[in-house]
Amino acid sequence: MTVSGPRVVGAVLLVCGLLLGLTAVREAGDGSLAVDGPRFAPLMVTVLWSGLALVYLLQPSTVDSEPANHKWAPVMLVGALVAYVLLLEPVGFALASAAFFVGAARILGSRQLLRDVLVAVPLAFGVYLSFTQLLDIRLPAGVLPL
Amino acid sequence: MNDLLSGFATVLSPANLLFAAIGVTVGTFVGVLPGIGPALTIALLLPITFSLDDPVGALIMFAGIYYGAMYGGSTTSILLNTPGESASVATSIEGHQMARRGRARAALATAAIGSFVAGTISTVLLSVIAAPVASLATSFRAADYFALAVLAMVCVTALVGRSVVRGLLSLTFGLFLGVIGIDSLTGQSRFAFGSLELLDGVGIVVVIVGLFAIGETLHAAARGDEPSTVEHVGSGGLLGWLSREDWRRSWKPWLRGTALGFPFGALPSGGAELPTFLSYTYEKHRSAHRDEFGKGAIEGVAGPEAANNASFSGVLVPLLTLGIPTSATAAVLLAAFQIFNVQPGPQLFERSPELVWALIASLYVGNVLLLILNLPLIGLWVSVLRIPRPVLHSAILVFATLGVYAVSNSVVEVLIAYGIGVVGFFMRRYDFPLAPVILGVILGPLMEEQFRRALLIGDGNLTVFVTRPLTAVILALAVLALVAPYVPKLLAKARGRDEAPVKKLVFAEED
Amino acid sequence: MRRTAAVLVAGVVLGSVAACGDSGNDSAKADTVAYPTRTLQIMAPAGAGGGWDLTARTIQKTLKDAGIVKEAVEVTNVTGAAGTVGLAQLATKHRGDAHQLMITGLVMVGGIVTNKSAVDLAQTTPIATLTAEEEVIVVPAASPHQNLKDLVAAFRADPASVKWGGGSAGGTDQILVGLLAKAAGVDPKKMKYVAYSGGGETKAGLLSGDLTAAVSGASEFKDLVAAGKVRALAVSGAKGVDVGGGSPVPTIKDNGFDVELLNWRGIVAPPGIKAGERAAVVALLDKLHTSPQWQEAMKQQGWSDFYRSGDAAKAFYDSESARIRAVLVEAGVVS
Repeated sequence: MTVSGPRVVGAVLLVCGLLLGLTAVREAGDGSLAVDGPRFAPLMVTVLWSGLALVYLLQPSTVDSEPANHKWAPVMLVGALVAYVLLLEPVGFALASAAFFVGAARILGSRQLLRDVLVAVPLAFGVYLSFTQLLDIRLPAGVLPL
Repeated sequence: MNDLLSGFATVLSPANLLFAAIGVTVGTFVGVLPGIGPALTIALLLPITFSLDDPVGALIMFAGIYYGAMYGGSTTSILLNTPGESASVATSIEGHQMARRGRARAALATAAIGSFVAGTISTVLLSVIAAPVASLATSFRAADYFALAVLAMVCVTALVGRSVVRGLLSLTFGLFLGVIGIDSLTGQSRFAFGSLELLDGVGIVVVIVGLFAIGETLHAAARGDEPSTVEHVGSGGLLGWLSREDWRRSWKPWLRGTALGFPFGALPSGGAELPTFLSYTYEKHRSAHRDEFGKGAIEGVAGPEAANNASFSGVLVPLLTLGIPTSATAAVLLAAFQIFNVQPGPQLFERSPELVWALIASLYVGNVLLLILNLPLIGLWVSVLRIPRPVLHSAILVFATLGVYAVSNSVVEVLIAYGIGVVGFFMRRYDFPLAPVILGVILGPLMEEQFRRALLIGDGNLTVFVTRPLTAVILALAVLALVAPYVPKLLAKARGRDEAPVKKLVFAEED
Repeated sequence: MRRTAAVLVAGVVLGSVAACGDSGNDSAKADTVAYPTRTLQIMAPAGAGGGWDLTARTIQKTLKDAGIVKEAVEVTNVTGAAGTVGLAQLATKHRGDAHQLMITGLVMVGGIVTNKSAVDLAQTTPIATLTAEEEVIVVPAASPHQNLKDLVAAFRADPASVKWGGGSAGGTDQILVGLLAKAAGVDPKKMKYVAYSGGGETKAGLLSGDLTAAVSGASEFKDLVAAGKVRALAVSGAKGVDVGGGSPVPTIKDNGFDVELLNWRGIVAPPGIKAGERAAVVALLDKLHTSPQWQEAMKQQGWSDFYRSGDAAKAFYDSESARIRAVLVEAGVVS
């Protein structure tokens, strides 16, 4: 991996640190930044953050991380996760989980649809039933008349 | 002693043994789920015990659930690098490396046996010296806690890893997560960005599920296929779990972990996480196999696991003698006591001796049952690794989502966990260590709170940190721990022979 | 006070007036509708194992055991921000759904103020208050303060010299100290209040010598009082109660300060439910309250009865909200 990746990371970290530092100052308003007050720690943490990010940006170390063979897989997986949790309540836990499971397995490289479905459906419904029936924890039932 | 024996008489009835067995089994299986640790497991199963008339049966079951959940959490940390709660983060560092190198069996065995050893020793300590330890623990004041947090922070710098800058950035990220939400002392909101969920802060469970379970899966997705089976290295040795060499390298860390875990557990504001990190650091520093650390050194599993288990008996000291819960699990146990109309406190031992001694006896029994149940199960757990990766990782994501959602019933909390998961993914890609984040989340708020409490109590005077002998001594130790690694170098320089090989006293390696 | 509440309750059950202003209910005389007709959901706006959770689960159990409802009763935990996360869900997601109830309490009233919550209790449909717990003020056994008058005299002379400790900022314990300061003529902003994350930590703070006095729920210090490690100075209710020492502890009022505060819990329904539904939920809770199973459960948990329902509950919620907001502003917790 080249040094450019860490440079981007360093820049993002620095921008985040500065923005959060700004937020900390703004949240303090005209209140005091006294050592024993609630505004001191956020400021200290964000200043430390920005300082370290600057050091990292100036001398980014090369990293020998494993090669990313599938650049888009994590992005698709995050998309699937977000869709999953947003559908959790309207569609219901069991159905959403089963669908997500099959989709995620495919993104993760599985090409055995039948196997995934055969695992996903009993898993999702089994978890749903054991949580709601045995542990008495409510999970969204959604569209299915469970 | 007679009390303890009658406690055993109570516990060893068939019905109570059954409760213990059910507790251990249920605890292990629920504890395996990411994000569901012992405290939550007991809280979830609390209503089930409402229907039991006899508090002894319920408490025995809790002890079983606790040990089971604790062990279940270590299992996933080792096999999948997805610790379910903060006390098993330290275990995951070396444990998962061992599993990746086909030594999952040995890692699980040293965790199980270490937990048993630590649990047994610390329970003995609990039954013998509970009262004096409790009165000592309550003499700790806010200033002392601050000093202790500083000392711990300095001591566990080994977690920072290979690069100081990256390690400190990870720590800072953890500290940042720790300040999010309502300031506990004044009620002011910090970094909440108008979100009610953030007002309450980012829970440690959400951080752990995000950073480990989600982050690890995203990382695996980017990495692509990995051989789905790891060649198992047979250990030979006694019963096939641990080789003679493993035993030799494990027993001391078990004992040292116990020695760290019990007193930290007994401190109000102590808890189970700190001793696990301290134990990890100590073992790394002391080990004759320093080069193996980071690649799966068995000492790094044995020590933290023992510390984790020993801290529970420690936690029971202030809980039973003063009614002070010092960990999430203890708080849930306290609620359970109150349901059965038992008020822990100085008079508990006199007023309900049967109950207390039955509880202590049930800890012994729970320990033994855990060992009996889990050693044979190791083979089963290890076979989890043979599940095809896409299926395994999809299941982890479903369970991680379930864990966060079931606790909070909030979609936003789950999204926060995903967000932290994305951060965890980039941290893995760019080689930022993960453990310092957890350290920051735990130690940061502790330091800040106690520092400000001490100032509030000392009327804003900074001298409170040096005028009290205990505080001053702990702070001095912290300074010593900070400069000690450089002393040999400085001495050598002073003598003008800096090129000579010097045995360094290192707490943190730098590159 | 309690008698008037009972009278009001009777009135409410007969014909409830539109207390939930924005529901636009059509009839002034609402008949009790059939209720519940499907699964009843009770939200505990806090984690499992806490006081609200326990209340919700006890209601769940009692409704089943006493045979009051045949439909399923489920408990949901929604965690966060002194219950205001749950409150926000109740007001938006569950709007108009009479089968979704929520536990509330004094802590949420304080939380709404300190968290600047967008939703407040006035937007819900109040059903009933259920239980209450007294607060107690304690000092270490070695403290020179023998009674509350001594302690307050020292507090008046030098407000900074007395370190009060208790639960989280803006919670019941700080509210009590704020009210006491006001009654004693001390500026609440001058009080030194050290917040802890729970009764256990407060205990540790008091025993280690960090605190001059601690405030907590009456049951919290029972054992330490009984063991003679701490001394109870006063309780916050209307009459003295025994908090472990064997004899009743005087109230704050007995000591000459006009302060009364109870850590109460209650139950509310979402906004926008029909008047008939409201009457039906109130009737359900009335039935729950009179059942022997509920009385037994309260005794077992050590809760004292604080039941008022319908309009009486609404009036109480309103007055309590106003009082708490005032004291938190004066104490400088919120601006």
